This record gives sequence, C-alpha cells and structure tokens, in this order.
Amino acid sequence: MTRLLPRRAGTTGVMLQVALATLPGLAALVAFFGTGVLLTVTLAVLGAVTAEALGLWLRGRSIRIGLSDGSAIVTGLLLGLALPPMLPAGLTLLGAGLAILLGKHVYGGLGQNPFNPAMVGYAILLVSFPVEMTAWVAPRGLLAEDVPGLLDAAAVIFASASPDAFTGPTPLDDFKHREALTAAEWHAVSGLGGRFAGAGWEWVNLGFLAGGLYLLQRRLFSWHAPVGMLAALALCAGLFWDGGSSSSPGSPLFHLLGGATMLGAFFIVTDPVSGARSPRGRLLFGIGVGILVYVIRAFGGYPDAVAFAVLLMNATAPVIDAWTRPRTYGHPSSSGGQQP
Amino acid sequence: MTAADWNSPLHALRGHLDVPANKARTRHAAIEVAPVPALLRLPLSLYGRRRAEPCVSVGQHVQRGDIVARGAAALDAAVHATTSGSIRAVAEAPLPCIELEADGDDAAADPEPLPDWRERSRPELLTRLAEAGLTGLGGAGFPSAAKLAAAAGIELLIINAAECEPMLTADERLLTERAGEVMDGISILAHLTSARQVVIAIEDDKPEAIAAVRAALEDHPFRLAVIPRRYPSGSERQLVQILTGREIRSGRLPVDLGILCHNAASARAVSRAVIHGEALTERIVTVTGAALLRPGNLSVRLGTPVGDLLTARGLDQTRLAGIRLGGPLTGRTVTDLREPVGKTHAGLLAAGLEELAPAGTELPCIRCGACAEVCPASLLPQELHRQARAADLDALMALNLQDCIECGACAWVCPSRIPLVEDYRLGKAALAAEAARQAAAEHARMRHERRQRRLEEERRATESAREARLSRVDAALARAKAARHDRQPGS
Repeated sequence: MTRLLPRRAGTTGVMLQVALATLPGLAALVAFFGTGVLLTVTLAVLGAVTAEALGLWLRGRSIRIGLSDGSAIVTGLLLGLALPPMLPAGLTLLGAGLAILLGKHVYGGLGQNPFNPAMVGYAILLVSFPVEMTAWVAPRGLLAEDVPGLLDAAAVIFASASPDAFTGPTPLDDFKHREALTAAEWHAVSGLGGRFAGAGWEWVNLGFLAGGLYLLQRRLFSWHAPVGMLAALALCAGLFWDGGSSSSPGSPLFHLLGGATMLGAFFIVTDPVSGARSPRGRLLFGIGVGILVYVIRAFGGYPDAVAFAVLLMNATAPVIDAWTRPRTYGHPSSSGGQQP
Repeated sequence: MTAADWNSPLHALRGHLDVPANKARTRHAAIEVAPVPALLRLPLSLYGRRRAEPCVSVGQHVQRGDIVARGAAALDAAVHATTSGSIRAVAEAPLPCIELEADGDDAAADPEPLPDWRERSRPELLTRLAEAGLTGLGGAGFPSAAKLAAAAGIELLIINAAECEPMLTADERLLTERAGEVMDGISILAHLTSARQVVIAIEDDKPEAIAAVRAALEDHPFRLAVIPRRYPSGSERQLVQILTGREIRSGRLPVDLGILCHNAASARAVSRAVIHGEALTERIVTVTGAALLRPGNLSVRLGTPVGDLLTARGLDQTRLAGIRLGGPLTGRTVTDLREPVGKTHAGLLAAGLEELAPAGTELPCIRCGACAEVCPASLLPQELHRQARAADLDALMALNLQDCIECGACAWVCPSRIPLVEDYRLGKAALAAEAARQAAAEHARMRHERRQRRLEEERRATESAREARLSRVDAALARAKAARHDRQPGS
C-alpha cells in the first residue's frame, strides 16, 4: 500500500535537527571546560548506538531500520552533554548503555518508554557514583592550571589518572554550601559566580537557549513545555528571593542560567515520547518540572535537579494526559459551557 | 464587500492543515469531454453498504439515461446507463457492477424537462431527483432526494464549493465556466428546502471562480462567503463551523441545526436533472499527477474504467508510483485499472515517485503530537492509532473514533509516516461489526425470550383448560352424586 508523501522532515530529520541545535551549547562547554567534553560526548554516543543495536538484536528487530531513526544518537548526545567532562570512560559507557536498554528497550523501544532515557542513565550514574558524578571541571581561568587539553582529559577518562588537579564544584553546588555568605559576598569571593549567573555555565545555558529557540522557530516542538518550566522555575526563585541573604537559595537569573536548566528546558522536557501530549498538558508538565527543579535545588541534597524533576514528571504524564484530554468536536464539554 | 457577501464573521477550525494547494497543473485547464470507452462498469453500490438490484437483462440494449438498477428504498438514487449499448454482464469484480458494452452511437433516451419546476409539487421533484440518480457528488454519496426530503423549512442552505483538497480543481472549473447552471440548481434546492438564507462558500485561492459566482449572483438573492484556504474547510461539519460557529453534535446531522449542505457539483446536477430532464451520467473529474502527460478537468462518463481515462491522457509508466481515486488526502489507492469512476470521485491521480511514499517506510510513533494539533475534530490520533492496532474496541469508543471525518490531516503531518486513516477505517469497521454482532445477539435473545413466553402462555392455557375441564367433570360428578343421594329414600 502506498500513500502520499508528507512534505515534512521525517523522524530521522527531526533527530538530526535536534542534534544540530545542541552545537552552540556544546561549543560553550568545550570553550569553558576543555576538549574532554568532546571525548565524553563521543563516548556516550558510541555507547548509546552500540546499546541500541544490542537492544534491537535482542528484540529481533532490524538493526538497520532501528538505527536509522537517529534517536539513539540523540539520547547519547544529551546524556554526554549532561555528564561531567572528565568522567571515566567506563561510567560514560555504562550510563549510555543503561539509558538505552533500561530506559527504552525494556519498555518496547522507540515511542514506548515512559521515562526520558538520557535522564534514566544520568540518574543511575548519579546515585551510584556520586563522587565521580559531582567532580566537574573548573571553568577556564579559575584555577592556576588551565582547563585540561585533549591529552590530559584522555589520561583521566581512559587511564584513570586523578582528575583532582582540574576539578571542583559547580556554581550551584558551591553556592548551596557557601556557609554564611550572602549571595553578593559569595559572588565576590568564590570566582564561580561568573558575570551574572555562574562562571562558564551562564554561557553554556545561553548556548542551549539559542539552540532551543532555533528548534522552536523550526516548529519541532511547541513552546508550552519549555516556557512552563522556565516560568515556574523563575517564579519559584523569585518568590523565595530575599535579595541574597546567607540562607537564600539563589536569584531567578542564577537558576535560569545555572546548571542544566536550558538543556533541560529545550532538549529534555520537550521529548515528546515521555512528556504529556496535548498543548495544555505540556504546559502543566513543564510547570511541574520547573517547580521540582527549584524544590530539589533549594531544599534537596543534590547539586542539580533536572534529571530527577523530569523523571518524576514523566511518571505523572499519563495522569496529566487524562486531565487534559481535549473535547472532541460535537461533544458536550464535561465542565459545561463550551458547546456553542 | 458587496450586498451579496456573507455578512456574519467567519470562525476558526479547531485544527487544520497547512498543505500546499498544488492546483497549478489544472487550475486554468478548461473542462474537456473525455472519450466514451468501449466498456463501462456501472457500480451497483449505494450509500451505506447497500446495493442496487439490476432491472435489465444480459444482452438487453439500453440508451444513455435508461435506468439499469434501483435501490430498495423509495428515494434511493437510481443507476443509469451512461451511454447507449448492450448489457454484457452483472459482474462482481473489480466491484459489484453492471458491464455495459458501448455501441458507439451514444444515443440518449428522450429527456423529460420540467422548466416549470416552481409549479411542481415537492414529492414530484424529489422523485425526479431520485430517478435521475442524484447523490452528493462531493463526499459520502448520500442520495440527494432522501437528504432533501428530511430538510423542509430550514434556516440555512450552504452550497459547498470550498474544494479544499489539494490537486482538485473540478468544482473550481465548474463554477468558472458554468456558474449559471449551478445557480439554477441552487434555486431549485432553495425552493425544495424553503431555506431562509443561502450561502455559497469558496476558498479564497480561486479568484476566477469567485468572480464568476459574483457575476452570476446579480440575479439571485444568495450570498457568497469567501473563506480562508484551510484544509479541511470543505468537510461538512467543519464548513458549518466556519460559517456559523456552531458544532453539529456527535452522531447528528446539520439538518438538526436547520442547516443543509450541498456540494456545488451536486447543485449543477440538480439543475440538469430538473430543468433539462437529464439523468446523472457524467461528472467533472480532475485527472492529474506527475505521471500524467496531459492533466486536465474532464467531463467523464460514470463507469469509465480508470485505466481508459489515464491512457487517454497519456500515462507515463516510468514515473508512475501509484494511482489514487478521489483526492490526495481523502481518496484511496487503486490497484485494479478496471475500477470505474463513480459519482463521488472528483479526482483521479497518477502520482509520480516524488508524490507518493513507497510502502514499508513506517517508523514507530514517537508521540510527537503533531497529529493532535491538526485534527479538526480535536481527537487524539496517536491514541486512536495505538488502540486501533491493539483492536481495543472499548478504548476506541471512549476516544470517539466515530467522530473522525477521515480527512487525512494527521497522516499527512506524521513524521513517522504512519498510515493513520487506514488504521481508523479498520477500527471503524471493527466497531460496526461488533455493533452488528451485538444487535444480532440482542435480536436472538429477544426472539428466544418471546418464544419462551409464548410456550409458557401456551402451557398455562392448556393447563387452565384442563383444570376447567376437570372442574367441569368434578361438578358433573358432584351433581350426579347429589341427584343419586336425593333419590335415595329416607335421607
């Protein structure tokens, strides 16, 4: 049976565009945290694609067709972007493999997974290897030592050399444990405060924002989930912002441009498979993620919160879908009053 | 804006598709007459999976316009010979039809014009429409007479000339070239329905047709609504929404709101049937596609095999990817070139490789939701797809599958290229089969219960008759005993 060809990018085209849109953020990561980022991202992609082939083979599916949709590349890419740049190779490969196999194939493959696969892989690594997962490279210009070059990074990643010379806490982490400093004092003292939201991180976030806006402009996803998440996060941070006392959890700008906020808002919560379906549902989904990100960052024990916030909201997506089902043409609305 | 323009605001659809109109190939091609083929297949199928019964015998000679088959209902549209010739067979393949061998004379039966239709009674005119074989020429093919019989004294008559489907230009050319005939047909429809208001709706990308209608409207009290080009504005329920802002309840018809929709080509057929007394034996078909050398708008005899029509317009086999009867979005793929053009077919497409996707390119649904955004009925196409594949009939009911108008917008935008409408058609068929099965079971249960009741009543009746008999015997015995007793002395 043949059918008319849609004049639109297919699923493969969508995945490729998403991959392209991560480039500004990736460039900022490389610029501030060194070329180790590229090694980790490459490893994550390779691990994801290998695991995808394995999963397809175990399920008796065509490996060629299964790989051609490009979704495994995107999963690996997003995971690689979220991982610390100097993570040992074994952990990166483990995370990518678990993301694809436990995050996707055990549920029946592409389109069937209730949770975001990249975030599944990230969360497993974070709870299993907290030390390695919280050792971020210090941004360029902060330490006496320059950010690691390719050889230094390779030594840490492949040969288990100690990364201690290059690593340190992230701004989110450092700010949280700043011990009795006001926000302004921390900013002046720590050097991790950057120009306005966190050294290096502010540019990484702006890079992902730019890529996300490109995807939005190409209408690859609707604005609902990203806007919901960013608005809720900013609103929460604004509500609890006391001008920057020693117990303040940080300003709205600090949260918007800190950690994985923009990567999450435009590349993670926009995942159609594990998110809500209707536009209204996506708005609710994004708002939920935004609130949870703030709650976990401000009151939780983890330095960043996007992965857990997304996974928790993934679990609620079916309920959101049930709440936000649109009224079919010609049917009375359940709440009444919409039928003309 | 002139006095003849539709004067109330237009309303938005709940979802729509921005799809290239792709009409340039045939938009300016004047209507030509297609050759009469040597063999025609006159379909016997009627609306609602019913079938007309042949009323001619094999070998019989017929003229163009002679009735060859009829439906069981009084206002069913008759089936006609569309040229003169002899009946060759009643065939079941490629679909139930009467095969008519043309004799080349194309002799027509004498027409019975009714130029004084305003003086004729409503039943007489409706019978004329049914006898002339009129059905809606736009979509479902509902018999026109039956539709009009249910619509006396309506508020609004909508003449649907939206022609929103890409590649089709048959209605556009009809209005451009024969607006007068369409207006005559509308006058008859307005007379039959006593409509308080009449509006002709056309999408705004057809300036020539709009100008022709505007000129023709000078002699008529009808209004013209130029609506934005938005697929599927030409779907009945969606057009009612655009023009009035009202929705037709699920399972109901526009006439429940005092509205009747009639397609422009159908209106013209009404005028031919009443004023000229001609049966419906031809229709205008847009024959187009990248694999066709001479695309155009053709006046085609109904029953012309698809293959003959394509050959007549130069089919380029090397470029052919598939043939579609109807429009690119709502039509269906044809694999048998013997299939005839029927009353509802406004298009015949010989699609090139760049226009059709090869089979087997479907990827899994990634739940992107693009389908839900374009759905004009606000359904959840991806959920329907999942449940249709799982054949979960209860879930399909709960998701309102019955409200799907099969416009094909969802399948068009699907990045995984899933043939969604095919799933829905299968799901609807499964629901219909289940409903039929339940009705049959219910019928059997009722019959069984009636029988049980009847048997019980019969048993009771026999019982009481027996008891009555016995009590009569007892009474007689008692009387006899008493009499004997009486006769005994000394009592």
